[in-house]
Amino acid sequence: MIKPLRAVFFLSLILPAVSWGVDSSREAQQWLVRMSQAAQQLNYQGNFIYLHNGKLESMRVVHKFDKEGERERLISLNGVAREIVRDNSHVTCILPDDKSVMVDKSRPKKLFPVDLTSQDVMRLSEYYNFELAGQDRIASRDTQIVRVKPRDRFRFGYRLWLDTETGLLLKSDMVDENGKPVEQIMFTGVDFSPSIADELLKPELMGREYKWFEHEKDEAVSIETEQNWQVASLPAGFAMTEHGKRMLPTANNPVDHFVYSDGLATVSVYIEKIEAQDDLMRGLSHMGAVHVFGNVVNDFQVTVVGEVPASTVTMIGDSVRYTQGD
Amino acid sequence: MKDKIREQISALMDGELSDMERPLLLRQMENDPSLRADWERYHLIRDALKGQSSGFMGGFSDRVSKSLDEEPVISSTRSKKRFPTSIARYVAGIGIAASVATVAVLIALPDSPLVDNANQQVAVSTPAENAPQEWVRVSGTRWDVDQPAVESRLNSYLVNHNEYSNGMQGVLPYARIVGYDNEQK
Repeated sequence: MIKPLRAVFFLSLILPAVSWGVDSSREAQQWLVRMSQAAQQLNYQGNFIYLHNGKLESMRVVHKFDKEGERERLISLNGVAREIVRDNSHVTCILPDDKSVMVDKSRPKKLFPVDLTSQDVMRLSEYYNFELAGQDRIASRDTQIVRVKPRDRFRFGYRLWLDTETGLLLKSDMVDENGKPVEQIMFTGVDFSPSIADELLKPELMGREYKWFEHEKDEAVSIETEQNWQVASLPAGFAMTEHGKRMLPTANNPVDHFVYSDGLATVSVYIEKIEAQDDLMRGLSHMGAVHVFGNVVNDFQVTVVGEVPASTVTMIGDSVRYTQGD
Repeated sequence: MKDKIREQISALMDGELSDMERPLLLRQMENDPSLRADWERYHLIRDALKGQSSGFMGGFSDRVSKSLDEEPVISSTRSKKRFPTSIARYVAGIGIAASVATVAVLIALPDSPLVDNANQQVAVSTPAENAPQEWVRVSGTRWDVDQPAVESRLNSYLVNHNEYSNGMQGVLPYARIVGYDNEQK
């Protein structure tokens, strides 16, 4: 009787050269599994810089993981001291320049599928090329570089520097359809001490005189089965992963939310009734690598949001239709 | 639908509305004068049933109609004085969990000084803020759009979207919100 494991072992002896390309891709994907687990499960704090459109920002992150789950705090180190505190239930954005606090529900971080032979990962390989791209040193730590290249122009690529010891993402370039970096982050120092004091996760600014935007009742809004909205065209590989109605902090009405993903990139389509004509948005906007496209269909504001090229949000946003009846 | 809301108003009066339902109801009442009228009427009915003179309602009816007269029905420049303050005092006085009450009242009354009395922990207004304010006002120009309301909406979409996107980007999704420069344009 040949045990399956042994069979794999013999195969790997026979086919090392032939399967090198596959191995590199598989190994790169294994690094991504480690990376996504590290982001969720490690205790760490560190400073990093964020570069976009020729602007440089510096921030600090504190991340704690214990039996209570995941808690995270992000603080801006220069300019306006914005803060974000995120735990298992909420994400709270404290924005002193707007004198506002915005609270939304949080959700568990999505992990890269551990099973690399799964359909999901197989499908990914149709749209992205994964490869290892050498080693480097970031924030005085050894890193492994992983490159993720899209096979078409509808998604961005990534160059990722992962801490060799822990798998944590220490540097990342998001690369546009022409191979140019759109956004970069890089840690300048990171500390993996196993215990993180709770005080470090408390926001410094408590928004006393601030306006709060919050809905306690979110998913409780009934998800109606009648589907009046249809997204007619999506880039290959994108499929709907979720649909629901959300009560968003700044919205008076429930917002229809459709989520599309190719396994790596995610695009949201928000459909909301906007009363004031002046508040409608048409066309493109962006914040770093996040592109948005606004369209008005049947008096509803349709907004497509995603870390994808402008052409992708435009294509999706242009194709949203309101279908009458059933 | 209306009936269900009226049931909730009644539950709110009795202090029996769940923490989950309260914020949404307050917001609906804030936006809908007829719901506030219901609230008033229920009090009159209850007080009449109890044979009480309506101490709580003293002048309330007048104030409500006055505030309704003054109120442009859900205008785009959402005036902040939309919610009869007695309601908030009453709600805050019910003795519900302080934190939840705080959230509810803050939503209903973004600028009301009343909250100072209702809950010592929260000071919502400063006197300088008496000028009419947008419900949604964002001074930053993080998105390249002109309308503040659109800017705020995009921010809240982005925060929500981040929770649905996957972990490929590490700290990046929220770094965009925390770190984006104000003088962007």
